[in-house]
Amino acid sequence: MTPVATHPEAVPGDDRALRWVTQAGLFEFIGEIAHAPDALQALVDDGTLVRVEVEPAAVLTSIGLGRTWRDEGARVRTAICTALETPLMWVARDPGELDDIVRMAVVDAIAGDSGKFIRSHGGEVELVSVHGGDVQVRLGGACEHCPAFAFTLSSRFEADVRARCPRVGKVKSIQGGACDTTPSGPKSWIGRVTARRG
Amino acid sequence: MHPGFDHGLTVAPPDGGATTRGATVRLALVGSPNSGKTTLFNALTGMHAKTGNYPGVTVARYEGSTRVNGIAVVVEDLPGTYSLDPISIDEEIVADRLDPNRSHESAADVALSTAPDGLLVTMDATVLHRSLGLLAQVLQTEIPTCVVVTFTDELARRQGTLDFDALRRALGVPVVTVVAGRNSDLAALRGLLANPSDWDAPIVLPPTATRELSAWVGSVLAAARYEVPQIDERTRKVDAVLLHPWWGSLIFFATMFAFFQVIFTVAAPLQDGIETFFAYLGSLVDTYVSNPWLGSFLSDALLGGVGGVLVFVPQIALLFLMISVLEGIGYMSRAAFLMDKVMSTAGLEGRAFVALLSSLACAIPGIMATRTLPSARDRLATMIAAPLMTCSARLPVYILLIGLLVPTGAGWGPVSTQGAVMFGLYLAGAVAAMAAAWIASHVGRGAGPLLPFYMEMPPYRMPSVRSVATSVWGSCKTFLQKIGKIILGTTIVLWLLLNLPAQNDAEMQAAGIDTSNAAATSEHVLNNSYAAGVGKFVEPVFDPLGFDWRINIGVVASLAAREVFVATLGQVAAAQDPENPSTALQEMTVVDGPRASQPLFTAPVVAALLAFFIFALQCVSTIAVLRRESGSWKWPTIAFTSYFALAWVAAFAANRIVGALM
Repeated sequence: MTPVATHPEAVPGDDRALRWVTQAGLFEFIGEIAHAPDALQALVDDGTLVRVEVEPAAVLTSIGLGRTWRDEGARVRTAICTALETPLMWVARDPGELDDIVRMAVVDAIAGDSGKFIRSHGGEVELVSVHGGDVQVRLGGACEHCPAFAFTLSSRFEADVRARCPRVGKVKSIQGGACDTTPSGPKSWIGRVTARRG
Repeated sequence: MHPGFDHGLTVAPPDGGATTRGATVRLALVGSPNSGKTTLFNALTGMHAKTGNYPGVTVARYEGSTRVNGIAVVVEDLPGTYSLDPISIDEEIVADRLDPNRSHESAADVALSTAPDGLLVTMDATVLHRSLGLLAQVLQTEIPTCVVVTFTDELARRQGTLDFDALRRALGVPVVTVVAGRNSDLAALRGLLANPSDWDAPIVLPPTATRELSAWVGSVLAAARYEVPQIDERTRKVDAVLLHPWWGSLIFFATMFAFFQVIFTVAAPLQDGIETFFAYLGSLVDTYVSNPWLGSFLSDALLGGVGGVLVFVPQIALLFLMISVLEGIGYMSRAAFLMDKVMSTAGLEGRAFVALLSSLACAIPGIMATRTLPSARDRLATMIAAPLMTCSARLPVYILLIGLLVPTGAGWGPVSTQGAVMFGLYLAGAVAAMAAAWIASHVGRGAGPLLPFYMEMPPYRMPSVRSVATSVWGSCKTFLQKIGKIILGTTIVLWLLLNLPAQNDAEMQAAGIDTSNAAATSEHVLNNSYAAGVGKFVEPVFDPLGFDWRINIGVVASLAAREVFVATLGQVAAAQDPENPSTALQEMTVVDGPRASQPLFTAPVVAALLAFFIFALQCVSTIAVLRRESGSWKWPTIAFTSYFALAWVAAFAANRIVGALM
């Protein structure tokens, strides 16, 4: 079996925290955990880790006081790698609803690259509602009356949300009306060529 | 041409380390072969690179310097490596440099005994997944590291994707992108060079365990939205033809054939220009230099000898231009792949072909390249074969002799006969090298198993003008330096031997020479010179080949370096007819013996000379390197004597066969 992909990333503004990025949709819940698989739970119990929180495509951890990532990093990685192999053994403190997970994915997408792209040329995007896995956003600013509106919504924004949370339903904009939300169609070259030329 | 041959190490001043004074920042370039490492090195350091050796081994060490914001930055180009678990000596050096405590020998060189202040790791964007394993190992050293992603232009062309900001976040180290040394790209990198201690470092080092490592690599690539580019359609289509067992081989030979045609047809006008220039200099000497000794030295030794070799600079430049273009395009790897089968008949692997291919430039880098061969048997066999490959020093000799043998312009349609003969000579050298390798690997004891042969097929790329120009200029510079050192020195010694003992008028009149006839007196001096004595002394050896004592002088002198043969004949001819040495060579006649007053350079004699030069090991530098690389005088002695015997027999056969055909 191929191992579950993961790598750590720094959390800006929080030295004690480390975000273990992993594949989206691995967990059926988000939020703090009540209990983790044994390898990881042992580190929580001995105080190495003071926080373990599941995000749509990551596990957020914080190191205990008086300990450093430099010393404990390798141990934590081994525990995380082992625990990620059995996602069903992770128990949420508050299982939450599908909508909570979707909402977090949408918020992340708006704060992340696709939101940045929309804002970069005067567009605006905000979350209106999440219901039953379906998402309503408002695309405004330069996006109104833009011929590439539907493209941005489905190929860029929805694709971004779906990468963070594969269980997301339809994604609509309340100004643009419903758009076709069948999982992303043939990828266009514009979306693919993101490699910059320096 | 002789990377690392020079023992002069670039030793940093003992207090020059950044750790002690912060005055100099020492950086090292790490990366797999073909990852654009050397292009980056050239772009960062310009032409200010120095070469030397790593202590104890003959792997070339390249170091260059640059200044960033007034801070001196020394950049070292480490050998290409796929991992820090060393298999070859090159990889061993990289591992040692990154962890000086690892080295068993106590390095006397201060610059080598401390780890670099920072590392630049080059990663080819088209095969990023392969570079991350090496990067993980490099990050383990905890030396500040900056990742330089190369070939992103090609990634974009192949419609691959890579998000650099995401890659930077995932790796936790600075990531910059540099496309083929583009100056605009370099600015961002240069800004980072001066202060490696400020570079971001990963909070948690990458893992070492295989499973965790593969989880890390996969996750970093996914985070950076890296999509493995589809196999380049263009490369795939071209390879279907070029690597085809029949078409590929046919095209390979056609390419090589065209290669040698170009050397003759394109370089000829340039060569004529240089010849005209030297003739003009000669007329200046005649007009303005009245002292006969100085005049003879200037026109015979300098213009006739050294100038005679300088004439071949266009050909040398062209040879290296074509080699580096073929290399840059990516064709050389295909050639090596095609040759792997042929090589295996000689008991060698394709990697040995790369070593032999470098020997087309010069046997010395070829012999050095054998260090990458894992088996000692292969190493020795390839080393012994390398001097038989037609090196660039043979080129001037061949061109001169072919010029005497085949009239210019002869040929069938666009194909020049001169080029065809040249192709044949190169082919003969290659076949001889293969045969020698076969013998050496079968005679060599302790035959090990043939290791599997892996070779990277880089996608076809347009070579950058800059890297081609650097390589051509570097090769011409080495050739000119060789002329300046070995050839000039030998030429001066030869000029003395050709003109001493001095003859005064009384002695000459006593010998019945008309002292008012300049040609007659110089011929008399030449005939009675010390050099003539040497030439006549060895006559019994070379007489069966049709050589007279004047050719013998050239052959004996060429044992130092092959080009000296051209310089010697230039001097001898210049002494006989200072106005027009090249015609003098054509019209030179045998002085005494049964063939007296017949033309000297007949077809059988020229054929014998060509055959002799194919095989003979006439290069002191090669012998010295063979001695160093094989660890004893045994192999150089065997090679020198057996190749001399082979050369003699081949020359004898050529003389008789061509003689019978005439």
